[in-house]
Amino acid sequence: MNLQKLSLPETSTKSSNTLRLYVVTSLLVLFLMMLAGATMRYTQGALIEVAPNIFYQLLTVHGAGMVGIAGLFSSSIMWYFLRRYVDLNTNIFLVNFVLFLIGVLMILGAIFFGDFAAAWTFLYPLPAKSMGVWSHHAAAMFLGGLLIIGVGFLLFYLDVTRAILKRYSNLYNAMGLQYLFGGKTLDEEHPPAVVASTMVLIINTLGILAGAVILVMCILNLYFPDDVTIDPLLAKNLTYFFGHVFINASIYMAVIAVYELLPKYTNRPWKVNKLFITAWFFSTFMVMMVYPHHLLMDFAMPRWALVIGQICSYMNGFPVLLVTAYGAVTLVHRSGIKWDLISRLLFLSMFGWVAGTIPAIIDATISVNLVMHNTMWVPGHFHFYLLLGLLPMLFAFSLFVTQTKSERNTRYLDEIFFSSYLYGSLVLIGTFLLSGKDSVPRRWAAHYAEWIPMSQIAAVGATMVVLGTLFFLIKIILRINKASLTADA
Amino acid sequence: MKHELILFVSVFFIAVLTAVFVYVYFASNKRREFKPVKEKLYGYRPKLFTFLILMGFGVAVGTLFEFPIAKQAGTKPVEQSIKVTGYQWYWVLDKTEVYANEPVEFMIKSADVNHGFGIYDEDLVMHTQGQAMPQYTNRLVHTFKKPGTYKLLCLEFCGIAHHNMVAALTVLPAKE
Repeated sequence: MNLQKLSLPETSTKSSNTLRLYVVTSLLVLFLMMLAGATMRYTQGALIEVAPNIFYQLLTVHGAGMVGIAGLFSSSIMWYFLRRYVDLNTNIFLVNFVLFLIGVLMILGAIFFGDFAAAWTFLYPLPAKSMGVWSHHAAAMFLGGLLIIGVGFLLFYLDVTRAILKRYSNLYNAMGLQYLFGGKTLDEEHPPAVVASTMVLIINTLGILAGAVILVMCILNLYFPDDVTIDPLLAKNLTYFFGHVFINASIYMAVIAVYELLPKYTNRPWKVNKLFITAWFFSTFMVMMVYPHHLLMDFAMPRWALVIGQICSYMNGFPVLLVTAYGAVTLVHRSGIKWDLISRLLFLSMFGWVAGTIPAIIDATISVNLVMHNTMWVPGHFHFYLLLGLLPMLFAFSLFVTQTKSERNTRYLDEIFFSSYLYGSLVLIGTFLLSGKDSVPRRWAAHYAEWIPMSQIAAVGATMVVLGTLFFLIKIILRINKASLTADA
Repeated sequence: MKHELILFVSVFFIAVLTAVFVYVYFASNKRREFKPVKEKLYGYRPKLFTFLILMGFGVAVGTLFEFPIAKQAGTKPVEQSIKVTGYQWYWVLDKTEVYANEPVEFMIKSADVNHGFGIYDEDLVMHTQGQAMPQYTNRLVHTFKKPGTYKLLCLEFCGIAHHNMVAALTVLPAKE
């Protein structure tokens, strides 16, 4: 099979403009969601006063917005690199973007005009039982917004599936499984981006479908409460399966940037091997089996499911994460790499992804979960691998594709704001984890006096993160019009 | 103590990982041929994997051998049993006093939406928890070691007054 890259499709104006839309919108939404997050930490630190209803609206927009924009931003990475190997349809990608915007407008309307505030988890039957705070229409608007965003992603994955099938005939070959089970000699040129994209389209299609089921059922329940009822435990399973798979798929889409860009900086190739393919193959199952670790405190769950939740959480770390992170470290070690903002962000992302998984795995131990579940420990670990894992991948990608030959040297500013972002993240994450250790509940609009000092330190960290992100945002936006977005060509 | 141990273990592994990344970062300025570097580092990988698998297996067996969650059905009656029902935004307990050093069975359910039933001591340290769900009853068994007034906090977001959903439980000194 000829696995050489396709002729450079990214040179078309339409595809460049589409990517511009994705990058600029994602960065802006990301920044606004960060402001919402920082506002919550300021409130918990009693540095500003925000009424509980507004706080929980911010909580809802921050959670849903961050997960959604992580997905959108990461999909642009997958799209950008996968197009080198398969022929993706730009119009479909544009439709995904338009549906995303419609969904976002519906969600914002539901929250800020309809007072909807049931968190991103929208745990059934909370959307229908607000005690008069929001209407059923507002709830339907929020749930419908999520549904429309999901439809956009499904269309995108359908197009990815079509394109991959066209080139590789089946998903088995695209994932490289013929080299594991088919007796074929390993082709080292088989692109990691294709392996990762195939895994993502499988898991996230299923994840989004599960999400669609619970979203539709919740909407019907709003208007036909007697005719459409849902088993609350089933609802929880569907919600967490959807949420867990979606956010993990976002990381898996974004990590393609590391596979594609780190070799450029180290001048060393990142080639697939059998362990790499095995890792992605097992992760396909692991990432879907691991979600019961969100339900460890639901004792009505079958015991075997909880045991799977714990054990798969331990095993989930091995395949992609250790193989990828270990591969990245090997690639960088003694490579003579030129450290600049992009390469640092790429390397940092590997650290943050793995390091954030450590408190996550520990929390997935049932006996630990008994004292850590729904404390600040939980946002501690996911902010770890999102702030220092996923976002550095997204920033690195955006900075890379917007590079121009004539750009100004901003080395000192890069140093200052990279440090602001890095150390601010560490402070913010550290305070989350320490608050978790102190049993501080998550998702509380007001904190007891004992908990306030830690939230005040967190507010400092959040401010530093916001400043760092603002710098990345300005830097990228200032040059995105000049950039051809074909810097890799 | 349990909380400190959890933090210590997390910080230990994060510190080890940080040390590896910092070392690789600073050692990356001198370029060497990739092949020997790759062979050397990939040589360590099976050992690292084996170590982590064995550690994971040991922790899993150690923490699951005696299952940390109480049996949900087919259990003998417990003398100290409390029915707990979550409402937006308050707890109803059919008993608010128990004795220390004897197991207490909490039969937790919800009358409306999902809640989280967290038991905190006077120093605001959480001792244990369980979810309160509509249509289901979760059985939580806990033995209080110290007498005092314990706080019962909601740990699952349940609406606008979620953070005000607090009740109290008095633990009396152990019976003579």
